[in-house]
Amino acid sequence: MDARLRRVNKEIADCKNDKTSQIKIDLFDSSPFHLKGSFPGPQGTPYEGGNFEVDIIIPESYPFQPVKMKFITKVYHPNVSSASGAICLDILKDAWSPVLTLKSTLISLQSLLCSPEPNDPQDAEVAKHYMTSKASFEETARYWTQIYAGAPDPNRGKTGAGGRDEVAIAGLERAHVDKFEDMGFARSKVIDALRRLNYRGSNVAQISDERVVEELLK
Amino acid sequence: MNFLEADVPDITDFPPQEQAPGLRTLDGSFRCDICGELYDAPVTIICGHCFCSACIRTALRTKQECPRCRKRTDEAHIRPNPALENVITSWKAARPYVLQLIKSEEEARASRSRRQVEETDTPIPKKRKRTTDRASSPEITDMGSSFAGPSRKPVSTKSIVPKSPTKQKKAKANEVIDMTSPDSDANDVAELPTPRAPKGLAPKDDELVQCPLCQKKVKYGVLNSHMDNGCKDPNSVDNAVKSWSKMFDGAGGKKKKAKQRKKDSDSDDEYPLPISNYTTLKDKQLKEMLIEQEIPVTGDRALWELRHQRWVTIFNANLDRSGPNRKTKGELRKELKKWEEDMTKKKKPPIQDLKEYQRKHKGEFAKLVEAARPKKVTKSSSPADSQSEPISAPPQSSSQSPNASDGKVVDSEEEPR
Repeated sequence: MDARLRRVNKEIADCKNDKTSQIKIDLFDSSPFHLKGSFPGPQGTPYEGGNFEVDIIIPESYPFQPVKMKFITKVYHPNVSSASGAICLDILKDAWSPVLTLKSTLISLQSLLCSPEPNDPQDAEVAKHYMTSKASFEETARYWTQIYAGAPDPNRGKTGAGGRDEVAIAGLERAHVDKFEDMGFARSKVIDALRRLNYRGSNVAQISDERVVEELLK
Repeated sequence: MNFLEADVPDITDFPPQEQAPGLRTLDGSFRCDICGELYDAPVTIICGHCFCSACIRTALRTKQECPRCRKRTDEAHIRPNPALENVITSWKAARPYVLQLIKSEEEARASRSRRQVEETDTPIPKKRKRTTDRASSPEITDMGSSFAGPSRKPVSTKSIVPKSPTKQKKAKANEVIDMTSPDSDANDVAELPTPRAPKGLAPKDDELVQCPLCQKKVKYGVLNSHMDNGCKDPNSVDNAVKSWSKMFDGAGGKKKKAKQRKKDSDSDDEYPLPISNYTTLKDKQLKEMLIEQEIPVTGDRALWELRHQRWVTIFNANLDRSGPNRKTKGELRKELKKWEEDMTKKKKPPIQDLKEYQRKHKGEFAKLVEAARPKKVTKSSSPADSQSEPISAPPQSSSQSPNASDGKVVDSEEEPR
């Protein structure tokens, strides 16, 4: 057994033995170098209650090269691509050190969820949302956590089960979307345009209706 | 999946802190942070952190800082740590013995509590509770999943029952041990790990032994370097002459020549190899370097570079071992060969018969095609929508998907109204 395999074996055992960290590592298939990590969303954040899964690929020169990680669970976070799950985190790139382990890296991801870094974004649009209106951003992030990461929904009784709310997913106000929809534009198109314009929070006052219509007609 | 069940010795072989205070952390502190094994040729760097020589040398090649504290450092700061090396040697010997002791104590306790239960019907004893706890601990109940490697149960029988041949050897020694005479035990076990020496027969360094190649009597301590030099080592009288001539340096041409000879004979073994910058080397120069080190020149240039780099690493790391632990060049070459085999094994073998391969993996291809199809339809019908999908509409979204697949409801953005 080569050194890399021995180390991976130990790291998985280490995670299994640690009951306090709540970090889990599972196999995808029979390959020891393609793993699935998961951890609970940190408490006191919009990600609380969710379970976040991470795709882990261990490169050939591990531990001298960083592991490749990306989110499988969709996450609404400035440093995580909302489309691909790609993660912007220094220790996964040039700040990697061979003493870091799968467990410590997953814990770092967990703490990345606690403290977003919007000035070095992976997803510019989400970062823009975060900068303009943190409250609205958190609402969307919470919504995504419920839908994708399986967090319990506190208002489940009120809204009734089923339909996912695209407006809430995009972090927009229902009234704004309704206003432009009433002008005769398709709903999905309105959401798309408003999202692109970052029609949120204090920005709403600065963006004229003409500008929105222009965007819609593009 | 069998890799998870493989018996890799690690700190979890010992019971947790509450049951055996300090043992896990003790075993952990003898392990390199990079490879997780017991230190092999331990070295300290400028900040005081300790690693296996080969590990830190490989790490420093990528980034010149301490992997632990990120303090800037380089290979010149590497210093061997012979004290720790001795500790590791002793711990390697003591480890199976300690595990054996824990196991027998555990068994004794279990049987004692069983007897107690048989005698009295009140199942009060605390010790018994502990054993039942272990039996129902999650590691075992989880065994249905591929995870719970059998060796991971703290102080389970399996973690100590030998699997690998080396462990078997150690355990055999322990079997004959009578637990009532601890002195003889300690001696017996301590002898086991003496590297490359038959049990109990390791001669002292200055004892004369017969060289297996040239049949000459050679001091055991220099036997390895003697064989490395093709049995050309001068005899002890020559050595004395040399050391004297070294003292009276520059006294005459003949002596100078002797000095030169001395340098030739062991300079290779004593000094670390320099780290090369391969990009500035011509193929021919690189090849000469390989030949000079007597390592193979098969394969392409990329392989030569990797091979030479690895050779420099293990060669220099070997110098950080103290005398008796040091390996011969022959052993290092074998190590290099094994490393190369491991490396090439990892790469997928090239497909030999294309048709055969296609037929064999037909099911997988079909699955992939199936998985790719719906996505393709969505894309071609409304590219704008699928583009916006990641944020506004998740693929699983039930309310959105009918729209997405229905081209006429969603207008594409490029068309002006």
